Amino acid sequence: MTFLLVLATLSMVVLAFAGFGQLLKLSGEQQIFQEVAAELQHRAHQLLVQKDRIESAAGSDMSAENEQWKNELAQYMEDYEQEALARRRAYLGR
Amino acid sequence: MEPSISQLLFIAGEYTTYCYLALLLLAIVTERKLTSVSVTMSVVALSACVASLAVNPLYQWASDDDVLSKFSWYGSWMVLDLLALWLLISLHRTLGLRVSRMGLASAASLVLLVLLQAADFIDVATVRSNLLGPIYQLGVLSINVGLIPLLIFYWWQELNIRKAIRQGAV
Repeated sequence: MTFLLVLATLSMVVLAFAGFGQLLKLSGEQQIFQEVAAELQHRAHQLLVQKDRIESAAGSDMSAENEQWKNELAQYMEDYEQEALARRRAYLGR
Repeated sequence: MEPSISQLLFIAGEYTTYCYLALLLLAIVTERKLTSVSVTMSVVALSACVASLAVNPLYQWASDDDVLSKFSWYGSWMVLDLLALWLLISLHRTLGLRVSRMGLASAASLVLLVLLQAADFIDVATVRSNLLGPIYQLGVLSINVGLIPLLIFYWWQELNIRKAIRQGAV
């Protein structure tokens, strides 16, 4: 009886260390990119809505607005990469 | 009479749950979205609340002297700590959040608590040296109390890092 309970105790200790290892893995580089991706999804959604509006509107300044939209999209993709790289340097130091 | 350090710890231990709840409110108000900070504070506050609810029934279970009722005390605490650890892992994973140093610090405290419980249970169940009794009692208390300044420090550090990233200083 005692042996079994001690065994259960030791296995819970092993589980705790395994869990800590999992968390360490979740504080790594891959998770930074995932986090930034999730945050910028909101911005991407806004951009798509904007595109929708430009396409549905009939007007003479459509090409100018379209051009601006393309610039914002490029800026968005640039932001994504820069933000992820900055966070990687800040948190992981490389 | 001057109160000793252990007496001060016991007094502080009474208020830890309120401190965690206050920190959780502060995190929700200032973070304004789900981040590793707010997730960590929720899990820590939740486990503190569950612990303060569970302590009396568990104490009654454990009042017998046989090994099974001793295990119901130590084992339940270990299961609660493991559940909190699992909650930290799964919330960060499903929300796609990077684990901050706050998260790692609270996870480390949970691992330490499990280790303390396991060591004291094995002592109680086998050799009964009672050497670990005072270490256990003060250890659990000081981990619970000491986590609060540690969490605040790492939170402050996190805010500084975010500010540096925003200003492009990194």
